[in-house]
Amino acid sequence: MATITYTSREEIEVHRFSALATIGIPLLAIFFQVYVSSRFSFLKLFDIPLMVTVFFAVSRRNQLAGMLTGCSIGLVQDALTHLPIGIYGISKTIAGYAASSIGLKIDVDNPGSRFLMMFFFTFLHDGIYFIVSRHLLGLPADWRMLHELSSAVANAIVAVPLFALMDRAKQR
Amino acid sequence: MLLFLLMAQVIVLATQVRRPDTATGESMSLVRTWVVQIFVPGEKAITSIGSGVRNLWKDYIDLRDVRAQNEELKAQLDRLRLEQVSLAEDAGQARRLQALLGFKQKFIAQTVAAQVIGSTGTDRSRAFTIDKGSKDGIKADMPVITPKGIVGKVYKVFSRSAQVLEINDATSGAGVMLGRSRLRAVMRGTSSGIPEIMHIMADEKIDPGETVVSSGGDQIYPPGLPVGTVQSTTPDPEGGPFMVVQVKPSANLDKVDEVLVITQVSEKEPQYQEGPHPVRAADILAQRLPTVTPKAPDKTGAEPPPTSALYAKKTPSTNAEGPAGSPATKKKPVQANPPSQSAPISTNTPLTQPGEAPTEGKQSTAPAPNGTEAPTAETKKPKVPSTIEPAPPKPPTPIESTQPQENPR
Repeated sequence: MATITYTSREEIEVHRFSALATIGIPLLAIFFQVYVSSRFSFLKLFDIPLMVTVFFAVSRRNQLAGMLTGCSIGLVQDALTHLPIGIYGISKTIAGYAASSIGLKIDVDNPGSRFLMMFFFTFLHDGIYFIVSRHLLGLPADWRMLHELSSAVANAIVAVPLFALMDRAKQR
Repeated sequence: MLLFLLMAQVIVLATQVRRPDTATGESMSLVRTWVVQIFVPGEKAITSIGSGVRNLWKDYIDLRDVRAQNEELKAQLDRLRLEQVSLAEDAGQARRLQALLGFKQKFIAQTVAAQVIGSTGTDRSRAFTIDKGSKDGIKADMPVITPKGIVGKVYKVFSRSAQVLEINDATSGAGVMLGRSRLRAVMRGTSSGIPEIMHIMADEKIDPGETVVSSGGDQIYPPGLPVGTVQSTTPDPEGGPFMVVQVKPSANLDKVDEVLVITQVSEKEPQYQEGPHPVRAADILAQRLPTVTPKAPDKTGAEPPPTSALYAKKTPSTNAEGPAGSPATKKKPVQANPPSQSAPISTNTPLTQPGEAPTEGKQSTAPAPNGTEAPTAETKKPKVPSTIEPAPPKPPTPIESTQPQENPR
């Protein structure tokens, strides 16, 4: 019986996380985002919960897990804003799904690929957020290309050391 | 997959189920309530610890340069005192004019100080969380300010926290008025965080740096609160006849630590009250003594009665009714004063509010332009203090009676 190559690769590189890390890291990321950015407003450029979503999705390499992680984190973020609940939820669900799908194809442990991956997913996430809020809900939202680009670059830069830090929570 | 379906259903249910808040009467999403209740205690705890450490450092450790700063502040205080004198004059004049026009002012009657304990963490929703909620008297749509200017309004209220929507959020708006041109308009927030004033005709002259204050037209922010300054003006991007005025908020919205929530606004007419004036004994005597007005040309052509004859008419009533003499003159006005001749004095009465005794007291003894006393003013003469001796009932000589009149007031 021939072996399935991508399954073999998955068996090598799929990681698990403890329940504490699964719940604690996303909550800590959201808490950091809402608390610290109230003191340092420039931190609003970053999206730490998105980084956590992408990290868990590519590490687990499971699309359902990626979707659920993104959905949960997004809904909690939504609840902390004054906007309708679900905008972040939809954006991060899709980002989680896409990240877990890509995690099956490429090497996600390389810092360079992590940088590019985070840049791409930030852009994707922001684009979905804009479409949902502007065209689905009719909210007054503008697409500011320079802002989105700088946000994507900033997230990509921060994601590399943050992913390395979160690698310690991985369990084989 | 089963887990996904179950979770999706729970989420859908949670977003649809709304729990009524007993304090505010508004319904609140269940998910939102859960999440806020999870995060707010942690934010409060860290904020209080941080405040404690900051206060410890600020109050006990970091006291360098305090002496020099104290000297500088004293000098600043002296300068401000001088400025205050001139500003008080302007304010008094403004109050007099407002009273004259019957303006109703909105006064901030009660505020609640609150601390910012968190934000939304994103530029897409410019809002923050404060540590006061419905149990502290906070309600939705209450204005939130800092000493520098308005910050926003209370958007969602929880039991022990509330969410404040900043004025520069894209879904926010406020009624404003430009300081110099007095133009009223609507200011709205934008995605970039720079509020804009819309629908101002392009031919209006608005300069950068012009102050923007709240107009009160939105029924949320009391009028006259500083909002910001004009940053720039640009033509309407849609090519219309309007221009877009960008406003720089007065309050630093990127770094708000403590705010005031206006919980009560009272509306009342401004009452102008004269400040404490030195009262001379001659003025008090002049109010109490029967007065003789200087001779003036009579429009009717009739010759005014001689001074002695006028006093001869007034003294009996003064003796009969009381020491001050005012009740007597009220009941028996001097016949030589036709109502038409007292009209010019009554033009001054709108300048003062009822109950302003010192001003009216002065007016009551002032000679009328036509050389006669005004009965209406006489009736408003204030009660003479008991420490002052009453006027002598004997008929005064012309010299005695004219002395108070000759004293300038």
